[in-house]
Amino acid sequence: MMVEKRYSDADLLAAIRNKSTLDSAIRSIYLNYAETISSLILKTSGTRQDAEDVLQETVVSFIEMVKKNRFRQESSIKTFLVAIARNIWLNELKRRERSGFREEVFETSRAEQEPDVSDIIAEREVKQAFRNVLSLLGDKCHRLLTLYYYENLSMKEILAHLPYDNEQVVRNKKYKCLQQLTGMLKDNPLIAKLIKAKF
Amino acid sequence: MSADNTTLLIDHLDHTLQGGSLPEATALLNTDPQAQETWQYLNIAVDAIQHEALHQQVAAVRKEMQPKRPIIRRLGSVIGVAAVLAGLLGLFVFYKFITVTPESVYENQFVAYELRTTRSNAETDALRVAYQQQDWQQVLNTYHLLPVKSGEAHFLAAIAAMQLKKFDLAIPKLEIIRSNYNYFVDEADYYLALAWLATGETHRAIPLLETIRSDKNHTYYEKARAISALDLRILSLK
Repeated sequence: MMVEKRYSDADLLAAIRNKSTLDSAIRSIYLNYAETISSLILKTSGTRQDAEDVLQETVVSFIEMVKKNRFRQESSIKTFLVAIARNIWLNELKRRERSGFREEVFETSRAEQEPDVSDIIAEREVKQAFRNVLSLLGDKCHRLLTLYYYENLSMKEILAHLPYDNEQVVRNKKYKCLQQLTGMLKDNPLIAKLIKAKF
Repeated sequence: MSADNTTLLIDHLDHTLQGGSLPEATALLNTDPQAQETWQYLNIAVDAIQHEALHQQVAAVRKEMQPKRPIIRRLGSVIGVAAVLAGLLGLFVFYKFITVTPESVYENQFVAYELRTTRSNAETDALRVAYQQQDWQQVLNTYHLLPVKSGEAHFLAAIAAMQLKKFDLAIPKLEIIRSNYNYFVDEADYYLALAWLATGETHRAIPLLETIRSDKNHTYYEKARAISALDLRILSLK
């Protein structure tokens, strides 16, 4: 049986930032904080599936904040994760229009000085739009862009994963795929609105 | 925006620009609003890819952490299902053993021969008329009065006898056809096998049915194949 490493907060942040230890960091977050977050959701009318969904979104949002150096460590990781989960669930209940439970969630497990996670909540819709757009992108393009922009593989390394003849073909295909994805994002009203607001 | 400028921005995004291209890209972004917008979309595209990939990575790790059912329990389930299936199979075979009899196979397989308009001659006309009217006793009476009996006459009389359950009359007629004629032989094979089944002579009926079942050119091949191999096996055991 695999014994999972227990990280201190500082070590966990370092593990998240390192590609080779990210899986271990994710496991550690689940082992240490899943129960607390799940019970918060289950106590306020959520189902097991709701708890799993909120937990996953919380972990993803937290890792993204850490990777982009937006987690300022003004609270412990546990407090921060609970704040993210509580607000995601509150937001979800709002979407489902269940105000009675919203009040309950508002008070449940709320830290005295809750960290500000408003950015994460504000970005939720955009992130969902990302996922919707990507679901429309072809599998080959999706895989190629993931290998390049997430796995950070070189063109040569990508050749071992995808059936292309040479690096130049991979490069050309990547250009086309990225332009196709950009076009699809431009067609998404929510994302287009977000970009326009920046100009 | 031109394709060259888009390529320049993508190379800038990928950190692959060298020499004078980097200042060129920076200048483009500082002066061209359209380039700035494209730049935003390119960055958002990368964000989207990375967000989705992280989601998938987290989901994969989570899935890997879900408790797996122990192999022994899964094996137990498989054995359980196998035992239930074996039990059902046993019940099915037992049911078949009880219900499959020579008589039941005969009843399922016997279909009156349909008389065609060909193969006719004047001497058998009266016999054919009686057969078409399904007046089985009249068929037998007419058959007995025929001075010369053709293969068709023997065959129609045999079928009429089978309709009247007079298998002792039907069997010799069918055997005559098989021994002495070149036509109605396939028909005689099949109906003789059925007649033997009806009289409980399975040791004769089964080999004949097996012969028909192994000959794709036999007129009654499909009908004989309609009797399952299990049914034949049960009949041979009884």
